[in-house]
Amino acid sequence: MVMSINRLLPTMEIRERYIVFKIISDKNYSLEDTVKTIWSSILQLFGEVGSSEFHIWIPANLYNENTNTGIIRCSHDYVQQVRAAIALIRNIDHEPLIFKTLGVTGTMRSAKDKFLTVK
Amino acid sequence: MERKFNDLHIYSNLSIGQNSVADIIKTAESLGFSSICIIDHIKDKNKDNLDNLREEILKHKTDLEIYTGVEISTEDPEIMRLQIKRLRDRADIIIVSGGSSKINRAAVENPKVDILAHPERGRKDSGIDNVMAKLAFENGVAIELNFKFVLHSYRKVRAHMLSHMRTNIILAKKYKAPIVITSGAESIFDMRAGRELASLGALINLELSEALNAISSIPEDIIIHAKKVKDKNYIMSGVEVVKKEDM
Repeated sequence: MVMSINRLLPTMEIRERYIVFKIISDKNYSLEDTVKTIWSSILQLFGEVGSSEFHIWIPANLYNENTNTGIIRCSHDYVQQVRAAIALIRNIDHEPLIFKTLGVTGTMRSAKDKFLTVK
Repeated sequence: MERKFNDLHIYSNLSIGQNSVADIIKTAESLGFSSICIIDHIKDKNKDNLDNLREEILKHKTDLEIYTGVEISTEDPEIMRLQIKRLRDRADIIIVSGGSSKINRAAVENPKVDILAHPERGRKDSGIDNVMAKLAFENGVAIELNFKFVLHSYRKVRAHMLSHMRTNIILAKKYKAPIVITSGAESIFDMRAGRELASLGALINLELSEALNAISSIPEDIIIHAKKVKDKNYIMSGVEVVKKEDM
């Protein structure tokens, strides 16, 4: 039997925000490169202890290599910090680019519906 | 009401930048700016390139409001004054490139200067003190937080840069001097959207609303003020020539 831990009490749950980002560049970047770059920028700016508070997760299935768009989940108190860290990314593999935030949402569904669904 | 973002410090390839005016306009549109100011960098007594810049801008059709400005870069306050006198009527915005103590002081003392750019550049301190911050408020000179220097620096240098910016923000807030955040972009890849620039300001002693004002409403005020200063009837703050018919 697989043991699972109980969920956190509702009052103790971490409130999350979903930052939808887009890389403005002529090239397409793989998920691996993008995740590595985002993490290195966050770690460089805030360090390991600082970034541990952000509760960052980059869902792999929601990153689109063709459109260079994806989602970063973080704690709702630290949206500005994550935004600043991704704004300070200058290049991936020496290719210059611009990281742009398309929007910030409270649920993953609204992030998908508003920004990632082709209408 | 949705905020309008304005970036007042961008260089094109007609000055020290790398990209054409067309590329800058395209990028600024995609980043959601409502107005930008393309800057001509003038070193010491060199001549400006404003006419060519304006001609180039007029070739492009866009919804963006595009202003032209100059950045005066010199070590001599006297040359700075002469250049301001020569260029005030021709440029929409006058930026003085800060760094040396003499220039920082002369810039905040001059009501015809709109922005004192990067007063902390190349220094071991923040570049302005409480007297200068007070003068900046009295003369309406905005203190700039230049994003390019943060973007292009790493580790120790970046940490020093941010700590000097923090000191400048504390001083500017205490004496109510305007703070403006700009990208200072020399390439289109140095440009960032308004909210991203504001989020960087929010990390260093600015409240989020103050940081958003520093990239939206304060640049708007600077443009309005600059238009007023260019008016022939303007003498100094609070003193204007009013025609009899207007009274």
